[in-house]
Amino acid sequence: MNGFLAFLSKECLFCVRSQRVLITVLVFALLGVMNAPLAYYTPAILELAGAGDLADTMGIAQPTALEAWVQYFGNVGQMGILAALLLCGSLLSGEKSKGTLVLPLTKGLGRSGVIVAKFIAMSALWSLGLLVSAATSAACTLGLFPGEDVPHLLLGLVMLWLLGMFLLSLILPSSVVFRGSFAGLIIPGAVIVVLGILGVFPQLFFWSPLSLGGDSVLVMSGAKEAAVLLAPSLVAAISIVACVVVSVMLFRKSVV
Amino acid sequence: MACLTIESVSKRFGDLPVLKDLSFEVEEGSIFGFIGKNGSGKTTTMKIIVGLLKADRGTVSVEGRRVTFGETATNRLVGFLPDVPEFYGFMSALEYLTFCGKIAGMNRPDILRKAQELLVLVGLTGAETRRLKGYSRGMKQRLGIAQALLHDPVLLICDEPTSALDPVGRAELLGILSRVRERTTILFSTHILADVERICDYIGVLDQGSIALEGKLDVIKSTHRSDVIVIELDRQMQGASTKAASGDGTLPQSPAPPDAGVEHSPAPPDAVLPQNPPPPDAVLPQNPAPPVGRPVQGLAPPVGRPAHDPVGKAVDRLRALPFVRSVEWRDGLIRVGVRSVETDGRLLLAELAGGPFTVLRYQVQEPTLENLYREVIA
Repeated sequence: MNGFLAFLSKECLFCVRSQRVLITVLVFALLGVMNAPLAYYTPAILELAGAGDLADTMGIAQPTALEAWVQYFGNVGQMGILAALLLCGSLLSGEKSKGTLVLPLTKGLGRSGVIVAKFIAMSALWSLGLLVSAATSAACTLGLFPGEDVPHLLLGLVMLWLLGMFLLSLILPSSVVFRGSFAGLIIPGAVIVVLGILGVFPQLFFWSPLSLGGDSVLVMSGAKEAAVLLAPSLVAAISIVACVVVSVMLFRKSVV
Repeated sequence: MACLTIESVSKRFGDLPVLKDLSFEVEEGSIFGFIGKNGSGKTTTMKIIVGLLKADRGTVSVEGRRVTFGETATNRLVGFLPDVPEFYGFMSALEYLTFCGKIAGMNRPDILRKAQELLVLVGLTGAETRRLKGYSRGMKQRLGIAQALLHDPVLLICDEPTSALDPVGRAELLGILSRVRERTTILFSTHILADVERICDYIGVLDQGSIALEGKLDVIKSTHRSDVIVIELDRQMQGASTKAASGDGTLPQSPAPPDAGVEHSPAPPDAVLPQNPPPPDAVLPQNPAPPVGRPVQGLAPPVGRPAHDPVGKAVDRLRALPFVRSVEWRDGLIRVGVRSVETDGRLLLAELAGGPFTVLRYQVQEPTLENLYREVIA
């Protein structure tokens, strides 16, 4: 346990000193702060551009808080997750390729501790980013759209967090199986492509964790029932646990 | 008692057999030099000992406890220094040692006390709070030793720790290893034989995946000793021989004057009979050898040899002696292999005493690890 805690605190120190925490805060604050003003000023911008009819056609002539959060889910669900993948993609594979794990492992550090500590570090970075972006978005939305309530907002945020966790957890087996500094991004990239293709088949996409982002927005806008999120969130949760367990099993038998 | 036991270990990488039925033991309290050329399997062996690689067959035990691949409890007994230790560049040396100490299960006061002690030992005091990304290769090797010794291991494994260091860094690192031998057994792999001769008391020569030679260094050296006497003749004489061999037919006008050899002697007197001069009674017994640098007379020309090739004549004459096993003439030196330096050296000197040479050097060649290594690997 001491070894695990030492390694976990090393991970935290690394995230701070490698500027990962700072970058996470800045990137996600930016992603959070831009949605409400964009939603608020888009009709005016279109009006100035002489495309006021377009705003009417799109139904955004009278912007609402929901539109700000729709923007938020679009930005954080794509750019935010991409940023998190890039920030976390080399956490384990980078150590493997540099050989920095050799000495801690020969000192008696448990291999399962390495995987779990990496998972916690990735989860912490993603959670921090989501929290920062949600907080800044909420503050801006409250300022520009005071008093407006968005139904199922918290549920949507939890689903977005789960989607990010699902994709980040894929970094672990990818880092264990493949070699190279950014080997951790191979499986997440492949899964995004495959699940994206599955989007063509609605019956299959119903189970896909990738549907969590889009469906959350539809639930918040009332276009879909919240129950629609159950199947993909279950798949995502089971996949996260499976990724950690499989990674531990593979890492115990892999050459460092 | 054996601190490390390796029994019948085999390892293949694909079709390439790296270790073949490898077996050896490292005695407690010894420094074991694990010698082998690049690619002979030294690093593979060490990685198996610390559980970083899985042996296809065989067992490895540290202090009687069996090593397992992946997570092995025996690593608590072992300190490991890889050939290129990699550290976290964002940490300082003190932070890194604290991190290692916690992983090894030490408490904080012990970690700090031991870290300070080791930083002094490896000469990193003053640099302990600097980030490791700014450390030189030599500093990293020193820190590598410190982390390996932090938890007082019973066995220290060093994988070619000096191979990438400059001569000063090498000497310092060997000095550190010599100092820690009092507390721990050391397994030290290298292909630098001078390092082994300097600090190791046991050696194992790894060749093609198995041990070709193993044992106590001084015993091995005496067992494999081949008595060789090195003779250097006057350069004028050699020059005459070269000319004769090249066909100009020039003869030396006369033997070198008595003092010429001394004046032209390429080495100081202490280098003339350097490493292990034979005991006086053995070298200069009944027929005392001429003082070095003085001409000696005699040695009739052998049959079938041009009369104007004095060194060639001498070589042939020496070859004809019954106690001489081999004669090699190269780089101006005649190397004569004999059955025993003690007895045959006298006879050899008696023969030389009759030749028209100035003997500049008479030296009993001590067997070196390099010669032994070449002999074994060949």
